[in-house]
Amino acid sequence: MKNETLFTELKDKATRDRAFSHLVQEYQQRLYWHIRRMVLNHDDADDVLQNTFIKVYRNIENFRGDSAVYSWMYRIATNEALNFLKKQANRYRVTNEELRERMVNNLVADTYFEGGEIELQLQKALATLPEKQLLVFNMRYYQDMKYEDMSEILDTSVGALKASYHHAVKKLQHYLKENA
Amino acid sequence: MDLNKEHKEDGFRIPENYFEGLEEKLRDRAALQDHIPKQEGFLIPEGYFENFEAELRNKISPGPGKVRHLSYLKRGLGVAATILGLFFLSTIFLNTEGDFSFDQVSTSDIEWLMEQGALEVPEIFLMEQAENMNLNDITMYTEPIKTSTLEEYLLEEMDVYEVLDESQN
Repeated sequence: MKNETLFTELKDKATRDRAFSHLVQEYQQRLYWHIRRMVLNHDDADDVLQNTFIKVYRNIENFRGDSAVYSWMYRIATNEALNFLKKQANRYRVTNEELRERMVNNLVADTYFEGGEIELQLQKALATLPEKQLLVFNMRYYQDMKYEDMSEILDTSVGALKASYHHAVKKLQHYLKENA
Repeated sequence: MDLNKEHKEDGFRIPENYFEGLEEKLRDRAALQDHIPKQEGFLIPEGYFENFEAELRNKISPGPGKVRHLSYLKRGLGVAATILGLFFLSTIFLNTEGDFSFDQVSTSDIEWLMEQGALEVPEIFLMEQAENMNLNDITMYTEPIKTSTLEEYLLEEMDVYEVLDESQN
């Protein structure tokens, strides 16, 4: 479904449900993995994803269509994931870095994590990245997203995103080499 | 020679600006490919995506009967917890002669109140209020506030832990 058609159908109460259903089917997996890579745990990712779609549904009326629907949804998902992490850090009274470390340690006993030592090492390496760099890295490396799209979602210039990604790659390379 | 044009005539298409970042992308990938495993190790429950929309629809518009009953129960518990919290705070105020400050409330007391849910606004109440709210109607400034900015602000400002921290300082 084209962006313009989708936008029109979402605005129209008669076609809204069908269009929303299309949105869910089309984007649930992409948004899930985007969120999961930030929060790591499946149940948390599920909560954040549901909240994302609930917000999308409740705010359709306010969506002005000045950006693509998919960028708008990614922005909501990103904000939801970051807010979730912030609340967790506040709840446990730890810094973002300490929270990330705790989340990675929890993966060992997580039913929905099947990684061995190498996968765990990767998560430890990713945990060393600042939040923004981690986001940029995930979107570029795993989701193969264009810098222009990322720029719209993260409200950051393409140049700054490229620099962030480059720094992230260097840091990961260094960490993984040192801890091989 | 415009290669894109030539291939368009064959019916093949490529994403816009595909070749522009390709070299950089390959270089960065090559730098990491020896270190990054192909699988991330994340699993999902069987049938998760197949059932996701149905679960979501239940949350968006809960049906009658059982769900409604739980909503009332949740609201009741929220109200009871709030009354308990108010009672606790009033006891502190009434038994305190002179000035009162949050320093006098111990962390364990606050934690206990939080565990009881006394400092939380019931989610169902917030959702009901949100249903009646249209962000476009808010015109406090001549420049409209971005929805995302407003949401971020509310989420940040409504955090109980932060409010308590500020009160203690």
